[in-house]
Amino acid sequence: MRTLEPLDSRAFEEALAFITPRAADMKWASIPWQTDLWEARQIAAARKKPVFAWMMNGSPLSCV
Amino acid sequence: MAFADPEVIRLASESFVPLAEDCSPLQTQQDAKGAFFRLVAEQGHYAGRTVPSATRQGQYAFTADGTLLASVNTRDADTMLGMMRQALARWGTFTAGERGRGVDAGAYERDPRHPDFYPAGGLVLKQTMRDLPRPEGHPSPQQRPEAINFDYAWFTADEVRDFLPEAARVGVSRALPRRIVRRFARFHLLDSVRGETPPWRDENVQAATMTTEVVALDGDRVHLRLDGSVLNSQGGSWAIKPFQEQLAGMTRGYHCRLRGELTFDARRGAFERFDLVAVGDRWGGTEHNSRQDDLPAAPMGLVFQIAGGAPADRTPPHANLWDYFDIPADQSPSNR
Repeated sequence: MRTLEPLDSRAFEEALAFITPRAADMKWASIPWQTDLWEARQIAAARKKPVFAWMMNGSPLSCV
Repeated sequence: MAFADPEVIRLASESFVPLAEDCSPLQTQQDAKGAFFRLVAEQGHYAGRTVPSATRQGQYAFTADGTLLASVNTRDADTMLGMMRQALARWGTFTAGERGRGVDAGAYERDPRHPDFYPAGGLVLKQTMRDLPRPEGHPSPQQRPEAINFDYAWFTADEVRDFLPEAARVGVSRALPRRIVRRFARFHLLDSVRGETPPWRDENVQAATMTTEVVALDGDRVHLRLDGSVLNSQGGSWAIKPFQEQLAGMTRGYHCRLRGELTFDARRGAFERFDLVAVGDRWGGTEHNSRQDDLPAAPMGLVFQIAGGAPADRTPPHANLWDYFDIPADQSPSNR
């Protein structure tokens, strides 16, 4: 396996800018997600609203 | 993705209390929270299902007392909107008294196998990963340039100090301890751009070094540069499509360089900047990471940055947290 060259400051800045999420990547994050079922049902009771739950094997807000 | 649809966003934000959570532990967790999830899920689309899996993942609309209004498992915006409207129509038939009905507002005793590992006073990083541009003539042209995924990295208050050289003097450096390097290498330097993938095992980390060096001092602020490199690789037999047969001779890996620009506020005892980048080639695929048509080595990058303070930023790392924090097996309740 070849040795990789260290990242210089320019390569670092370019990669940081390219990988960092852009607005179009983050529309789903504008939803004010709660992340704990127990707290969400308490909030729902207080606000008299139903819960809308997105439940996945693995957190829906990370690696799925 | 359904959650990029403006009407899904509006309804979820305005008409419901929106919740996103990992249902894997809740499917078996032996406490009031787990029981509540199962109460809801066993009224829903996967009630009683055991084949091809016992998953209960999907979207559920329900009342605070656990009455299901509607459910589905979809990534399609129109299907999801149909489910949300069905739920709201049913909700509209409830009286005011029924809408505020019955919730046990008290705390509950957590299943000891699932403690809250959130590192209060520590370092919480948000991780973003995506494919990097491929050179012309690459054997596997990029098919999904929009693919992006996220995770969170957690370090306890004690571990924050692991990033700092002993002396805050320009030019002083420190090789980061195994527990920090291991956590990045095994649980974060992974190809989950298109979908989840298993963490590396210790033996899959072929080489890993991370070093910080003090590059400047500015009052109470210590500016550090982080450099490192990691080579993870694994060979064996596994599936590269969901629920398909295992294939022999599979290999996967990620070989990357790391660089970070960090600023530690010594007065607060906390980082105020933590921008860490990993750049390198990934190869291979696993059962759920959708690389079956993209197995050759291709560039992938990751960024770690300080997370915000929203509830969503308390999302745990996508890992078994007992293993993540390297807690000895004899201290895990499931092994006692």
